[in-house]
This record gives sequence, structure tokens and C-alpha cells, in this order.
Amino acid sequence: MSSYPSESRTRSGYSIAIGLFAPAFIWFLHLFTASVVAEWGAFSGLNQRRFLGIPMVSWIIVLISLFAIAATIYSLRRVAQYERHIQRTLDKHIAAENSEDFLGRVAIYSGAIFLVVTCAQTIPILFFLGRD
Amino acid sequence: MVTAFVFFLIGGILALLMRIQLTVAENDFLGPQTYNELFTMHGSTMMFLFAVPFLEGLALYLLPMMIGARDVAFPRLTAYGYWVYLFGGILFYVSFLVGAVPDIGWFGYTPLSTSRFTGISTDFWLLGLSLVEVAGLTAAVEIVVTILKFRAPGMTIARLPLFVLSLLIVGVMILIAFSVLLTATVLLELDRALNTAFFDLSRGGNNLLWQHLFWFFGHPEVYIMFLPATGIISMVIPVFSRRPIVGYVWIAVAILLTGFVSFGLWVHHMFAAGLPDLAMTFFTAASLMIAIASGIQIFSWIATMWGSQPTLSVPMLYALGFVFLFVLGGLTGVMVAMVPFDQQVHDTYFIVAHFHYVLIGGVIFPIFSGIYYWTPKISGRQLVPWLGYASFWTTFVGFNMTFFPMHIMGFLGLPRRVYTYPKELQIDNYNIVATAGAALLGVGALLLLVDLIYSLFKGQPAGADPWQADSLEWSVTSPPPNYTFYCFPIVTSRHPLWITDTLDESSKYSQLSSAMAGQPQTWRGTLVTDATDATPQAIQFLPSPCYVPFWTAIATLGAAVGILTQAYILSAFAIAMLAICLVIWLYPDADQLNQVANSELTSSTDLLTLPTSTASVVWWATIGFNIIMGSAFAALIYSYFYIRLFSPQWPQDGVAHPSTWTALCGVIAIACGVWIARHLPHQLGVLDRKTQSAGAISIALTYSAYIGLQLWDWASCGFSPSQNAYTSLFFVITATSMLSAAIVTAFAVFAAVRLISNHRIPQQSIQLHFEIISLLSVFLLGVVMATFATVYLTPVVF
Repeated sequence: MSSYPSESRTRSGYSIAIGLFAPAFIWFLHLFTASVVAEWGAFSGLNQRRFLGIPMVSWIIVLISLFAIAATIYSLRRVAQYERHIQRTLDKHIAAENSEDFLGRVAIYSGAIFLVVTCAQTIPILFFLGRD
Repeated sequence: MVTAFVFFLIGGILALLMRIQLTVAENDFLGPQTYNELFTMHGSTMMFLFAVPFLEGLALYLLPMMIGARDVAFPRLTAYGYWVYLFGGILFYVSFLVGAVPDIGWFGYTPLSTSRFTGISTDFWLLGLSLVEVAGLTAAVEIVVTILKFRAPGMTIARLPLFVLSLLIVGVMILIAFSVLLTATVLLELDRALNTAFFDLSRGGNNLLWQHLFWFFGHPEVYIMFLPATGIISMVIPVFSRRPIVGYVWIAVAILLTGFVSFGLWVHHMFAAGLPDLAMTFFTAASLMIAIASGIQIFSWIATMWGSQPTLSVPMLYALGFVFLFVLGGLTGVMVAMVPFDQQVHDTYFIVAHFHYVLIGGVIFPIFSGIYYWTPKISGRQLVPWLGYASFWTTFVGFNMTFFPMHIMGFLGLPRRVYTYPKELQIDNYNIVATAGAALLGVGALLLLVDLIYSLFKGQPAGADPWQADSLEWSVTSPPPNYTFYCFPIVTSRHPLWITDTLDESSKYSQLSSAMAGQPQTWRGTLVTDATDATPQAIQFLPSPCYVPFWTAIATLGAAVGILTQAYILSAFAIAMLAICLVIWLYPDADQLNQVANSELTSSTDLLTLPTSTASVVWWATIGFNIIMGSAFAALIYSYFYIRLFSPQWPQDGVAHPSTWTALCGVIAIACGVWIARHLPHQLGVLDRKTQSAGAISIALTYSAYIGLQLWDWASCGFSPSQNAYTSLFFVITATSMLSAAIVTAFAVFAAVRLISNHRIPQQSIQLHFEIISLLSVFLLGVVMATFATVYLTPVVF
């Protein structure tokens, strides 16, 4: 059992839950919206309209990507903060197989990988900045 | 497991027949029609009737033992799932007897699967598939709830055996993916049976919608099979390397990552479907990223073996074979994730080679490893080692002989799904090797079967722990005793049989463990623990065996057969029977509930025997049900916007907008009902039974009002479901919201009847009933609001 107060435990529980699932949902939403915008842009003719020489579709996807990356970083920072709190309050023997510490670490590692994945799937838009 | 293995053997025979046909060019062993039928049935059998059901069967058998429980959360649901699965499989194969074998491939692409091009054979496929999906969903709920709530004290989420952890993730994946497939198959069956227009281009439908929905299921399906398979490997490798797995946390991350990312890759099956370049490149990038998750697991397994001296027993050999073959399949997977390469090899034998390396190498080898690993536990008998080694080497060599040449044949231009090929391609030699390999592969599977049957009767006794393994299932006798654990184990490490810590944790629960030893005696019960920390919360009553699940499955089959034969009266009769069976199944026995509620265990263990809220397995199952309905409904909303996106006019054909005001009244009615449903569980303690039943009736009335208003809207909208894709979507989305309302209404009526007819029902049981209504109501509100926003507001503003 964790030794720190229950209120703090609930708050860290929420942070871990957000840390575990938010980067994954953000990644999926990013992929889904970017592909829908690309498909709809091609169908509706939006990709023919340009702003500063760059197609509107590309602008929209760049903005979506920046928002997704920022949101993932935010959730990562939040869970990292609570993970530090958990590690401070638990002694090392318990921390090795403690649920919250384990979930916190899984959240941080998976969140970091989702950040890489979200950034990687943003790269293709760079090749379409000058194209319709 | 046994049924799934029988289907595996049948699917294998179909594959051998296809290989014989393809041995030489321009062969006439099978005609084109028979070939199409065989490859459809082979694919469907292996994907739907073997791989997932086998792994689910293995999971349901092993889970209670691995997590220290006495049974699964819903034993009767397991029975129902099994019967429905068996009936679904039989429905698939009855098509051979009536001469209407499905020939549309295991993917059933429209328009070839619509009623314009195929007859009743496709209905056999669709309805058989629907039954198997229902079975898969029931098993998924069972697996997830059992893992979350029935773990032994001390088995925190950080100490789960990796096979169990992978099953937990896969269970959630099945809830989402299978629901989407269920929606797709229902839409296609509606097109076929009731002439709706979801996939009819001439009436505003879209054929690519089927591909999107199917592959949104189809790609995660690969990982639904693959993840438990990796879980088996993560159990086998440490045991035979005599050391704990390296990078437990990283493997957990990889499993989670694979589970999520698998839902974002479906478009890479559609790279040749004419999607815009930009859209496809996002999916290329995402597809390449799945290699990170797979790579983490591969390196963890290698690191575990590194420096140890692994025992090369048969399970370990199959595990090593898996690592080798899966790496090869994974590499070709990275190749086909790239659009230019994929477009070159699309629909060639290169793809056949790739997915067989992934599915046989990545799933069948681990399954065989698991069979050799756990059979001594299941049967209590040792398998014969030399037969096992012979089985492994024939399977391994046969597999590579069969599928490696297919890479080359694909490069040389042999298209897949063709019953023969011209001599000019000059690929006879490759095909001869492939067919010889397939025969060898068949011998490997037969050797396994012979080994299993022989050892069952004449095998040496295995003992409790023949492998000196680390997980809890090896702590009980082989075969396991009825009820598995007389005393609940207390878990103090990830490897309970290797590292037995006698610190505070074990002493903390020892009193509880002794109080529960062989208890309860007059009813079946098991310990419920917290979902993350596995601290004891309650004792769950488990129902005894009965025939109701079987009759419920018969009723489900009857409904499907009624649709198949267009005998809709039979379907209506079967649905009525289904409702009666469900009432009998779910209606609680007040005497038994009182016996459980007043059990001596409540005082000796200080735990509740009729848990409510998050301590109850029913509460978690309701969440699972909401996920199923939510995913199915989300697929409908996706379909609506997908068809809307490509329609120049909306509503199509200038159809008039349905009445927004009537729909708004419906939303308000639901909101009132939800308000009551949310507040009732908190007030039950201060309300008398009459007021409680009045509350239940008022919930039922408000939801019924919504259904009435929606029916009124149907009658007055002035169009029919078959007019165009828009009208089809309007009817099916509103029908789904009415179905959701009807389900909660039924629960509310059920509660009212229980309260009025029997005053001896324990208060906790009533409390739980209203909590379920509350959970379902919140979900209903979401569905109704999404329906209103999509179907009523979108045509006005978008």
C-alpha cells in the first residue's frame, strides 16, 4: 500500500491515467484528422488554395501537428512530475513493483514513444509544402 | 481450444487442396469457383474460427490459475460464448452441405459481396461471422473483468504475468475492433436483406466505406492474435533461460504501444485503393513506427537468453522459431508499409508470404509453444519429447519451404487469389517446393496431434511443476483440481514460485487467506480485489452451471438462421426466446442472494459478499458493454461522415430534413431520465421500496417516450431506409439510439418488477441494479446527443 495521503494518491492516479492514455489518443486523433483533412482537401479542392505559397491543406495539418505535439509534451510533463512525487514518497524496496510507480514509468516511456511517433508522422507534410 | 484446433485442421486441409492446385501451371485439380470458395473458407477459418478463439480459450482456461482465482468472472457467459462460437463455425461449414460456399474472400469486399453479385453464400459468411464476433466479444469482457477483479492479493498490476498483461490489452482491443466489424457486417447484411444503400454507389453509398470499416478491425485483428502469442513467448523464454525476463516494464510499454498503434494502421491495407498521396504518407510513417514496439520485445527476449544457458526443450524451440520467423515477417512488413513498394507487390504472392510469416511464424509457432508448455498442466501428462522435436523441425522446415519461395514468386509477378497461372511465368519449380513444404507442414501439425492424443492416454505423469516455472498455475496439481485454489495464494513478487518474499505483504493477507480456506462451502465464491493494487475488496458470488446459456445460444442461432433463410417470423420467434432466456438467466434468486448476503464470511473476512460499484464485476462488465456499444455506434457515425464527405448534396436527392424539434424533445426526455438515474443510486438508502420502484418506472417511461418520439419521426419523415445512403444512415443511427434506450428501459422495468414482486431482495443487489442503470443511462445520453448532432443538426449546418 502507498504511504502518502489519499488525496495526493487520487491526483497522481488521474495524472497517471492521463499520462497513459492521452498521448495515445492524441496520436490517433492527429493521424485521423490529418488523413481526413488530406482526403477531404483533395476532394473539395482546398489543396488548390494557397497562403504564402503553401496549400491550405498543408497549413491545417501543420497546425494540427503542432497542437498534437504540444499536448503530448504537456501530458508527459504532468505524469513525469507525479512520477517524481511517487518515487520521493516510496522507499526503494516497495517502489520496485509498486503499481503507481510501474504505471507512471509505463506512461512516461509510452508517452515519449508516442511523441516520437507523432513527430515522425508529421514529417511527410514537409514534402508536400510546395505541392498540391 | 479443442474446437478451435479442429477448425485449424480443417483450414489446413483446405490450404493443402489449394497448394495441390497451384503445384503446376494450368492445373485443373480445382476449378476457379471451387478455388475461390476454398481460399475464402481457409482465410475465414484461420482468422475467425481458429486463431482468436484458440487464444481466448487458452486464456479462459489458464487465467484463473495464473492470477490465483477460482473461476472466471462470468462462467455462464463463457458457456454462452462457446456455444455461439460453435454454432457460428457450423453455420460457416453448413454452406458446403447446401452447395452455397462463400467465395468472397475472408475480407468480403463490396461490391462483390453485395446481393447483386452473390447469393445466399455470402449470408452464410456474414451471419456465421456475426455469431463468432458475438462470442469473441463475450470472451473479451470475461477476460478483461477477470484480470481486473479476480487477481490474488498482492498481484498488483506491476506483477502481472506478461501473458496476462497482453490478454488485458487484447481484451480491450477486441471490445473495440470486433464491435466495428459487427457494425460493418450488420450494414452489409442490411444492404443485402433490406435493400439499404450503404455500399451502393448508384444510391449515394460508398464501397470504400466497407474497406475502411473492415480494415479498422482487420489490422488490429493481426495484433489481437499476435500480442497473446508474444505473451506466451514471454512466459516460455524466462522459464527455459532460468532467469526473469529482461525489461519487464519495457515489454509492458511495447504491449500497450502495439495495442494502440494497431488501430492507426488500417489504411496501409488500402494503398492501392486510390487514396490521396498525402493521406497515405501519414499511414506509412505510422506503420513504420510499429517496428519500435515489436523491436522492444524482440530485444528483451534476446537479452533474457543472452548469457544464460537456455534449455532447448520443445516449447523453447518453438519460441526460438517464432523469434526467427517473426523477424523475417516483420522486415517484409516494414517493406510493404512504404507506398511505392506496396504498390509494386500489392496483390502478389509477396504479400501472401509476408502475412504467413507474420501469422504462422508470429502466432502459430507461439501457440504450438504454448501447447507444449501447458499441456502437462492441462492433462497432467508429459508429451513425448522426440515426437515434439520431430514436430518442430518438420513444421519449421515445411513452413520455410512453403512460404519463402512465395516472396520470389511475388516478385516474378504471380498474383494472389488466382486458381492457376500461365506456364510462361516459369514458376513451377517454386510452386513444387511450396507444395512439398505445405505437405511437410501438415505432417508437423499431425505429429503434434499424435503426440497430444498419445500422451493423453499413455504419457508419463507430469507433476505439478515439470518445468520449474515461476507463475501461479504451476503451484497447483496437474491437472488442476476443481475450483483450483482451496486457499488463495498471496503474491509478493513477479515470479511467485521463484521469489517467495515473506515480508509484510504475505502476513498482511494471511488471516484473510486462512478465513477463506475452502470457503464458502454452500455457494461458489471467489475473492475480488482492487483493479490496480490487488487489495481485497469483496467476495464475489459465482453462479452454478445450468442450461440457460445453451438455450440462449440456440435462440441467437435461430435469429441468424431466420435472417439467412429470410424466414423473419423465425427470427422474431428466436428473439422472443432470447429475451425469455435472458430474463431467466438474469433474474436473481432472492433466497440465494440473502444466503450470500448473510454469509458468515462477511464477519470472518470483514469483506462484503454482495459487492456494489467498482468492487462488483457486473459494474466492470457494464463498462465493457458500453465500450462495445460505443465502438459500434462510433463506426456508424464515422460511416455517416464518410459518406457525407463524398456527397455533393446532403441530404442526398433533396430529401427533406427530419423534424429537429421532435428530436430535441426526445433528447430532453432522455436528459430527464438520466438525471433520475444518476441520482437514484445515491438516495436509495433513504427511500422506501415503493419510491424506489416509482423511480425505476419513471426512468423507463422517459426512455420509452424517447423511443415513441423517434418512431413518430420515422413515420412522419416521408422517406424510406432504401431510398439512398443518407436515408439508410438516418434509420440505422436512430435505430441504434432507440436500441440503447430500449436496453436501459428493459433494465429499469426489470428493477421495478423485482422491487414490486419481492421485498426480500438484499439492498446491495438493488443498489447494484440502479448503478448499472445509471452507467447505461450516461452512455445513452451520449448516444442520443451524438445522434441528434449528427443526424438532425449536421444536414442543417454542414
